[in-house]
Amino acid sequence: MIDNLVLGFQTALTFQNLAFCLIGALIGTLIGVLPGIGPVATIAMLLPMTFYLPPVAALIMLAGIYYGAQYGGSTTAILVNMPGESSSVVTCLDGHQMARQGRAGAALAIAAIGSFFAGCVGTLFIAAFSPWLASFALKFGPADYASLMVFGLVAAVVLAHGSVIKAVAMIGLGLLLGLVGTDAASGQQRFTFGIDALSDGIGFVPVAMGLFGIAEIIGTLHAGSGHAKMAKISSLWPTRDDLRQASPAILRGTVLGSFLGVLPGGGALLSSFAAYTLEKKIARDPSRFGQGAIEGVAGPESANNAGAQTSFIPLLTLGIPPNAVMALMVGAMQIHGIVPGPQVVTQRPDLFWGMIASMWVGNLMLVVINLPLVGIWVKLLSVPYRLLYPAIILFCCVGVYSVSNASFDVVLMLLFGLLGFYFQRLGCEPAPLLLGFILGPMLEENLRRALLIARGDLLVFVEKPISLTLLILSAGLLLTIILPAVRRGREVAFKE
Amino acid sequence: MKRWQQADVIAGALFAGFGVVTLWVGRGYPVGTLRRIGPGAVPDALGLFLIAIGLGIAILGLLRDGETILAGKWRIAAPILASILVFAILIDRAGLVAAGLMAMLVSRLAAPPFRPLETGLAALGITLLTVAIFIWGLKLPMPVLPP
Repeated sequence: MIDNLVLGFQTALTFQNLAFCLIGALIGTLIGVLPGIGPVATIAMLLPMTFYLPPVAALIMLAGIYYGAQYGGSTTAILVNMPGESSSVVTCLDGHQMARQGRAGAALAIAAIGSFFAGCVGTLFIAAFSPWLASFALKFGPADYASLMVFGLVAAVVLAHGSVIKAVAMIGLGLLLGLVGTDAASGQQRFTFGIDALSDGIGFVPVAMGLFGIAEIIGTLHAGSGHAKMAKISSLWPTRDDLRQASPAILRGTVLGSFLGVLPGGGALLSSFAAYTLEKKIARDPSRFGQGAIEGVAGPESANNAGAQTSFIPLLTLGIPPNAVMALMVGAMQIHGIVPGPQVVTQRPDLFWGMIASMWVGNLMLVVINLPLVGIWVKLLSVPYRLLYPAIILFCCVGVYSVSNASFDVVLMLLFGLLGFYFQRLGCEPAPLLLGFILGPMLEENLRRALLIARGDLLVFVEKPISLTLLILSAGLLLTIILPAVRRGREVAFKE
Repeated sequence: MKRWQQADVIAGALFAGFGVVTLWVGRGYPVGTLRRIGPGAVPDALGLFLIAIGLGIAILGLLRDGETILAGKWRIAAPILASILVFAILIDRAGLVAAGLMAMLVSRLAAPPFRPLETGLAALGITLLTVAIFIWGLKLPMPVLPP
């Protein structure tokens, strides 16, 4: 493992990769601070431009955007009670209270320290765990892969919030949309309606930007952008008491986040919610929570960083994206001709270990840069949203258009923006659709191959042990939703 | 509110509708055999799945008091969507500057009051920034000015 880490750092510390890591981290923090635009839309927007970059630099930058956004989101959550990122919602609860009590500096510092610690641990966790997981996954046959994807999709839905049955329907719709285009095996044009531009399928950039960029802007405008009062930052340093109280919470959050991040549907959001719930449950005096308990900042902030990092594991080792951001990273890898899967570890060790090392470097950059720059980030918040969103829309349009200079793609983005917006009004989440969309073609191909090898025997999916296990787990997860206890637990967790 | 207006019923109907359309459009795609599944197999299966789950959602929505459909103010959504359409129409015919300016002016209608001076200046500034980043900075090949 040491050799690999050395290789990783050699790759990550080249001037070019350092520069792109910094760019990604800064952009990530920026969009984490700004409301109405999140990492999914940003990554989708920058994805086509990374075509001109070497693959390692591109992936490092895009990764930086994701975990950079976690840092940015906590800044606004603490100072302005506005979560710039969905995973920062819980940080608002106690973080902003601390700010109101004049302890904004301490809250920010603890958030940064916790995040950095979690980032370090997360990096080690990935380095230790991934190669083993990848070598295990190399034994997977197509039937196992198909079942793994089913499990990934089911788990993503069960662990996320919102109506499970609607999310499953969104997955189905996403799978279907992913199949639009020319079927590779038979040459049959499917659902293209004679439109040439569709014969290569629907591009995922318009889909991602429509569902997550445009729909989010419309949603933010609906919510109305009020300017909350901004808390002043006095002293920047936490007291010794603060550190003593926060440290165990940081540890707990890191461990929790590291594990939850690996699960499909996991990642930063789930980890931060779970950490807050945990801290509140085990605190000696739970009434402190919501009034400025520092564990309420330390735990979730560490957890969301750990979760963000470890959510790369399924992507880099199995080639299965556990959430919407990772789904886009799959797209990024495909653009650069890298097939995501367990073979990445052995075939492109520079990419694999370079990314891991650069995540640590990125965390270091973020903790060093962010605290001094807090003032600037906060000033950006004072820009009224009505000036901001037209710019975001224009960037989205240009970004989508630049993929193949096709105004048709822009129209597609419009359609998916409409779809995403309308479905959200109906209570259907867009993320499952994106996951299904990215996995659709892969799922069909594995299904096809599995049946070909098994000569048409459908039982192959339950005869192979790995496949059977995964299918049983999927069914089990779906059944737990029906249990009233679990249902209540999910509702309570997300009510706050 | 009428039962059939509830969010679940509409959502379920939409999903089922997608399923029906899928089955209809894909009716010619060969399904193949189990050994060699054809291009029509998975789409047909998904179409049936969507119909089933759509009906399920709708029926559950009719039986329980489902969520009400969240108010969607088309006054907000329409200008945003229209602005993207404007961009798509203008970009090839009139270039980035024209498309960007028009798109932003239209999108601004989603957040009244309109404030022409502020909007005009902002649109100009943002368009220039966009040209600077995407054309001069990233050197993306796209039409900037009208031909």
